[in-house]
Amino acid sequence: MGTDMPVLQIRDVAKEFTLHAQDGARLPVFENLSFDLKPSECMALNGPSGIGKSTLMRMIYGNFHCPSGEILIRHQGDWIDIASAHPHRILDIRCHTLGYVSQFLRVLPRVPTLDIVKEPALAQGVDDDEASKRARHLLTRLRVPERLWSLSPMTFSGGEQQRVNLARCFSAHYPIMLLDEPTASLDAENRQTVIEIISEARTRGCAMVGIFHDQPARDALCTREIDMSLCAAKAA
Amino acid sequence: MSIDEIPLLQAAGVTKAFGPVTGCFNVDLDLFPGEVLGIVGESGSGKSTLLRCLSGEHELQGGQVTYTLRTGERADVHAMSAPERRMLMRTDWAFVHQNPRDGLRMGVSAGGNVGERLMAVGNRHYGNIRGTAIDWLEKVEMSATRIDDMPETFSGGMQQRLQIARNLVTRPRLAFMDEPTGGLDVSVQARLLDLLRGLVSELGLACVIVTHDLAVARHLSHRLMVMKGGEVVETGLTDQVLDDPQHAYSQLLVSSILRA
Repeated sequence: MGTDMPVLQIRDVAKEFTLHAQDGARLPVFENLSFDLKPSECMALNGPSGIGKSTLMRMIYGNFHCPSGEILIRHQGDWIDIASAHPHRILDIRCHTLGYVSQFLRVLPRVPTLDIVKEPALAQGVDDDEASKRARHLLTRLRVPERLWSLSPMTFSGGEQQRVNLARCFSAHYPIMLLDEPTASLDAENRQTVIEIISEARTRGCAMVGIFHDQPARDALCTREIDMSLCAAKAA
Repeated sequence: MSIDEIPLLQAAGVTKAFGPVTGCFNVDLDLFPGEVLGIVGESGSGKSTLLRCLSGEHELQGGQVTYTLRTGERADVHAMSAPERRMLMRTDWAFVHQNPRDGLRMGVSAGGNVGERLMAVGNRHYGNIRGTAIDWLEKVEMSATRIDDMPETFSGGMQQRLQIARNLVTRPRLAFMDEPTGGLDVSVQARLLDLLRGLVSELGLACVIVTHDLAVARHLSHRLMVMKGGEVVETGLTDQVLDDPQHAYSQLLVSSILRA
């Protein structure tokens, strides 16, 4: 596949929430949203808080319903529409094609940090030695002290948890990644490391969609941007 | 887990009424090898009834449940003879009850509880059976020194882990679980969840898990079915149903959780 071919196509996507508990109140978020994304591109979603940036990312990930339009993902040579894909297909896409750096680490109690970081790589079929190597490398770069690796991250500080989260997401190699404020809650040194790690993935050909309130991170990483307020839904 | 495979368990139009009261109505589902399906809903929504319909314990008023045997042959669960179904229950299937007393033999030692299923499938060598029982006690994080103790002497969490060992020792392909972490305190619950998740992926086990605890559902299941009044009101990818519920009842269920 040439680098001119998109790997993600957003086609006329719209979203609204219906709140049944509040007399079926409808909350339109955005409409007529379309863009294509090619390998090594990084698209910044811009716009004020509440405009639907995270909502769009979660729709691309299949975490939120897509009630209208298409979200096409190039998955192992096929185009799959996330909006209508079977749940199993979405899980397979999340395993192999689409990574998501959320703002919070959500893990089970008792599972050691190293295992949490290795898991996505193992799920992609990477052998245990290589997965361990990647995990150790990433945790070291992100300055998570080795003495913490055998502990569950549930009691770690917010910044430490976020670095474990980042290490976890980058231990696997995805063709497409979604980044929800990847540098939030990090100190300057770690922010620089995260920017480097993301840049390396982009250089490998990873296509990215991200939310960056952090202007230096946005300047360093993004090749394109979209102003989501242009697609804001008119109140119904 | 793959959708290109034949479903391991398939239900079509499953309906069961208790007199004028409907237990579950017109339920369809596909369960694929290695898949974990969570069934959530309030008490009385028909979750446990559906589980018992799927496992053949309840007769149906309508519909059909089909299970794909190891031979590839597809069998109607409710048309099987009692011995056929018993054999399936001891080999290919597991049933984990909410109350471990319902799934354990309380008058038999821990080792005996695990060994019994092995003997039921033809194991006769005492040393091997005991060895396997010890392995399984360790898998569920119980000390091998407790092998000769009676379940009565165990805590609720240990009894539940013993029930799981007893059920999984024959490496079944399908497990039915009815509130497996219900009735346990939260620290024990977390440990059991972690254990279950590990075993499910290690054994490639398909599961139908009934729970009213949405956190349990989120951690264990790939897909979720929301039931209300005996009917399935919403079904889909677990995190999508929990984070962007569409049906009024699913929204109510999700918004009713207290955040710790």
